[in-house]
This record gives sequence, C-alpha cells and structure tokens, in this order.
Amino acid sequence: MQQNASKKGFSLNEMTKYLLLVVAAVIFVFFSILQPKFCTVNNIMNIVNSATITALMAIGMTIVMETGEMNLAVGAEATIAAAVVGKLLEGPSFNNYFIAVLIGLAAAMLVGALNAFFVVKVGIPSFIGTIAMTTFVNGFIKIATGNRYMYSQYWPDSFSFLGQGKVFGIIPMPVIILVIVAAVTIIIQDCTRLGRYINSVGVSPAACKNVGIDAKRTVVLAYLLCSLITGFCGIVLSSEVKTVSPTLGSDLLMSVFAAVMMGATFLRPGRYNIQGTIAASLLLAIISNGTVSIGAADFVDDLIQGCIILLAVGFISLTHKGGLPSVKFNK
Amino acid sequence: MATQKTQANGRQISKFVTKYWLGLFTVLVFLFFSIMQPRYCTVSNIMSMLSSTCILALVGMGETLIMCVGETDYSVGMELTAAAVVLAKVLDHDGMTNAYIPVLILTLLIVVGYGIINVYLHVKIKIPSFVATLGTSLVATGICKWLTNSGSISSRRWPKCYTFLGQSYVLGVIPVSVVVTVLIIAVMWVYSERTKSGKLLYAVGSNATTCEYVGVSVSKQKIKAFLICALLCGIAGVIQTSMLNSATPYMGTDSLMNALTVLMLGATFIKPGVYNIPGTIVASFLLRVISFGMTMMSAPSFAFDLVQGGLLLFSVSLVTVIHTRQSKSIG
Repeated sequence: MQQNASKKGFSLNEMTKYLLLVVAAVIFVFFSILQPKFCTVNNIMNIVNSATITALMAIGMTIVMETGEMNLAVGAEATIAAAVVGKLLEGPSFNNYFIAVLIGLAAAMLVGALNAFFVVKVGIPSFIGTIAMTTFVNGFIKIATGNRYMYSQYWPDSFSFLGQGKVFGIIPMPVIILVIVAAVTIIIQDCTRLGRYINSVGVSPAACKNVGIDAKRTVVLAYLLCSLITGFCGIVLSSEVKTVSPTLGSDLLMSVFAAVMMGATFLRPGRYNIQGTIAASLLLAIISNGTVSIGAADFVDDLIQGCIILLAVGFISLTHKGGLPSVKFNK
Repeated sequence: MATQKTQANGRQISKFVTKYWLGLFTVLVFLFFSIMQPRYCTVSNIMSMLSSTCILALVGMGETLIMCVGETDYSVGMELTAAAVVLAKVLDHDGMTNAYIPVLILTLLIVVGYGIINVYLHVKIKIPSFVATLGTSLVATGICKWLTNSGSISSRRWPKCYTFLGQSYVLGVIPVSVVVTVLIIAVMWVYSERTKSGKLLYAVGSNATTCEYVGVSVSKQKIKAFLICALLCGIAGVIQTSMLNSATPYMGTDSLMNALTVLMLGATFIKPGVYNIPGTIVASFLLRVISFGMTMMSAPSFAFDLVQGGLLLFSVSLVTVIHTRQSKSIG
C-alpha cells in the first residue's frame, strides 16, 4: 500500500521534473495541427537553428549561475567577440578567418577575466559588477563597429560558414555547434570534478572552503568558460546574419535570462542546469516560430511566453517544498 | 599619541569620503563641465537636465524600495509603458477627452493593480520575484502591443492638458515635471528616512528572519514596496508620454537597466552598501549631469559608455575595498 503511494508520488515528481518538455511537446502538437507546414523537417531545423543562439548564450550564463554568481555581461561578451572578428577582417590585407576567430574569442575571454577579477578579487557583488562591465565594454564595441551595423565586402567566404553552412545539405551548422557545445558542457557539469565543484560552490561556498575546494578558482573558471561559449555564440550569430550589430548581445540578454530561469524548473527543480536551459530555449523558439507560422500578430508571442513562464514556475513553486532559488542581487 | 590621532582623523576622513563620495563627485563633475563649457551652467540647461532626470529618478526610487526588501522587480519598464499606453488609449475615445483627471486616476489604479498581481504571484504563489515579474511583464508587453498595434500612438483628440505634465512650465522657467518629481521625492525621502513604515522596509531588507522574530510581517512590507513602486512607475509613465506626446509599447525597455545602474550607484551614498532613496536620486542626477556635459562637449557616443561603466566600476570597487578594510562586506 505504502509502496504504491510512494510510487505514485514518484511518478508525479517525475512529471514535474519534465514539465517543461511536456509543455514544449503539447505546444508543438498544437501548432502542428493548426498549421500542417509547421511539422516539416525544414521547419524543425529552423526552430532548432533559432533556438541555438539563445541556448548557447544561456548555457554560458547557466554555468556562472550554478556557482551562485551572476553574469549579465554575456551580451557584451558575445558582441565584442563578433565585433573584433568583423573589424579584423574588414580590410583587404588580413583575411585569415581562423586566426580572427581566435582573437575574437580571446577578447571575449578578456572580458570574462575582468569580470572574474572584479567579482572574485575586488569582491564587488557580481550583478552590479557585470552590469558595469557591460556598459564599459559597450564603449569598445561602439569604437569597433562605429555604432552601426557593420558589413564588409572583404569578409572571406568562410565568414558565413559557421552560421549558414549546412551538413549533408539539411542540418544547419549552428545546430551541430549547439549539440557539440551542449554535450561537452553537460559532461563537464555532470561527470567531471570541475562541474561538481561548480555546483557545490553554488550550494555553499563556506562548506566548500572547509573541505578544501578552492571556491575562488572555481568561480574564475566558470566565468572564463562562460565567456568562451558566449563569445563563440556571438561569432556564430554574426556569421548567420552576415552583419555585426552593436546591440547583438544586449537584444538577446533578456530572453537568455528567461531561458535560464525557466530551465531551473527542469530536471533538478531549484537548481540551474544546462539540460533545463536547452529545453527552455527550445520551448521559447517553438513558441515564436509557431506564432509566426500560424500568422498570429506578434503580441501573441509575448502573451504565450509570459503565461508559460508564470504557469511553469508557479506550478513548480506550489508543488515543490523549498521553492525555487530566488535571484538575490544583494548578497 | 600623535599618530593615533592622525589615524583616527584619517579614518574619519575616509569614512566621510565614502559616505558622501557620490555627492561630492556630482558637484565636481558639474563644476568641471561649467568651466569647460560656459553654456552649461545656465538656468535653461539646468532645467532641462532636471526634467530629463525625472523619469529616471521616479523609476529608480520604485526599484530601490523593492531592492530594499530584498526582491527584484523586472516589470518596472512595463509598468511605465502600461500607464502611458492605457492613458493614451482611453483618452483617444470620443467623449473621454474632457475627463483627463478621472482617466489619469483610473490609469494609476490599473498600474497599482498590476503591482498587486506581481506581489500576489510572489508572496502567495511563491514564485521568485524576478521570474514572476518577468512573466507578467511579457504578458503586459503582449497586451500593450495589442492595444497599440505594435506602433506609436498619438491622437488629435487628446485634450490640451495631455502635455501639461511634461511640456509646460511654472513661472515660465521650471518645468511642471520637475515640480511634480521634487514633490514626490520630498515625500519619499521623508517616508523612507523618517517614518517607521519606511524604516521597516530597510529592516526587512537587512534581515528578514529577524523581522519575523520581532513580529514584523515580511510579506506585508513586500506588498507595500511593490505597490509604491508600481505607483511611482505609473506616474513616470504618465509624465513620459506627456513629454513625448505619444505612447509606444517600447517606451520602458531601457528603464530596468537604468534604474539598476542608478540604485547601485546610489548604494554608495550616505549608507554605503544599502540601497537608499537619497542615493538613488543623487545618482540619477549625476548620470544626467555627465550625459548632458558630454553631449555639449560633443563627445563621441562610446565615451559616455566608457565613463559611465568606468565610474560604476570605480565607485563600487572603492566602497567594497573600504568596507572590507573595515571588515564588513557590502550589502
């Protein structure tokens, strides 16, 4: 009898864990019925493709949030990487795409290192530190791009490879990138010592210190890893649209934030996790693609997204003891 | 003996500088620009600086109260937008044009209702405040886009008094918006610094558990903070739509970031490490002093970002370092 009850509770718990994916599936079926064209291979690739950019940036943010810190500079990191790559290749003299990408990533990681410096070394609360860093880096982005959409005829053909290339003529390159990045980061998160340290620092930095985990070093590594991924994400996005917009990252920041927050309801409710972040990005992409394909006005997109965030998070908050982690900006 | 005295003196000076650093800096920057640019220190320029501070200060104060009780309101921008859109839309109907005051009151009530929904989701359903307000602001964005057809609305049917708050002057020099804001600032200043009800907000922010032990209802304080914040943002929205003589669903997109910037800067003033109303007001004026000065000296747009970001990083680092030296942590 008791076993039965516990089994029932277990299955309900399982349901809550995968609520986000269930919602995504329901909405997907819903749009497929309304619009037959929605459920074609081509369109599914489009959806995954558009989820990629949000997901990549959100993965970066998730890693930092797992350590209990914040990183609002992900947008600036993505933009500076794209802007540096665009700027380097602008003239006719230099057109080695590979080296340009490496330098772009280095620029993003420099921002990540500065973030880590201010948060870990100086001790500024991470939320304000990264906001200030965003504004500061924005100045350099404006210098590099001239505060306008940047495009150059001297950009080599390989510039659009990361964003527009297709594998087997059907799977877009960004999807492959997402799969690779997701696999690597999930393995780091779940199967390596670094991932376990990152999560334990997020749960209790004091306990970590007591058992000899270097909390500061872990946070620094998280920031660096985050800036590497987000920088790469910026480069992929600029290659996809073949322009570098000075607001490329800041436009995405809030949907990235939403994805990370919603992700915390998935798999391990109450903890930010990469699997959840990816599921949430997919859900958001399905909604925006679906509303466009059934020809609804653009406000429907916002309404559905808002309602789903409230319902999903509200449901978890009501059913889970202990609730969800609150974002505390004043630690 | 003598060294002890100088040490004590030095400590006092450093304490004084930390406390009033932001105010002193504002005066210094103002003097600097006045010397560099004779047109800067004229009555008309100061007045336009003040009137552009209004929106920032009002939204900043609202967000400050919420950060005081340890929560975050993502929806300040949408509260502002909702007020503007509702006011503009209702006054657009025939027969409503003469009822400016009732419509104004109705608008503010609607925005306060928005605040009630936010706080209900947070306090009763226990969704983390950031996620709850993120969700409601997405829903509100949808509704505002629907009301305005995703565009800007302005109408000839609006009564003349529509632009009274934002565009007319008292005695021909002082903008009405400044008078209104100064009145609200005075009320808020006295409320937050001198009354018991206001001090309870700070108390809840500094330690919620202790407050519960001594019989202060934390959720009641949170409700108060959210309602006042919604009201302030509503007023800001009404003033802004009156200044622009139009309303769009995108009016409040920058509000959150700007509000956070000023309240973080403000946390370095008077009570270092605590978000406070006087600090927020001084900080919002400082930002406008800098941006007006740099525009007048025709500085390139990236310079403003560099200065604002650098200033934020510097001032917060300063406060953090001095605090750690006094073996206290910020916040």
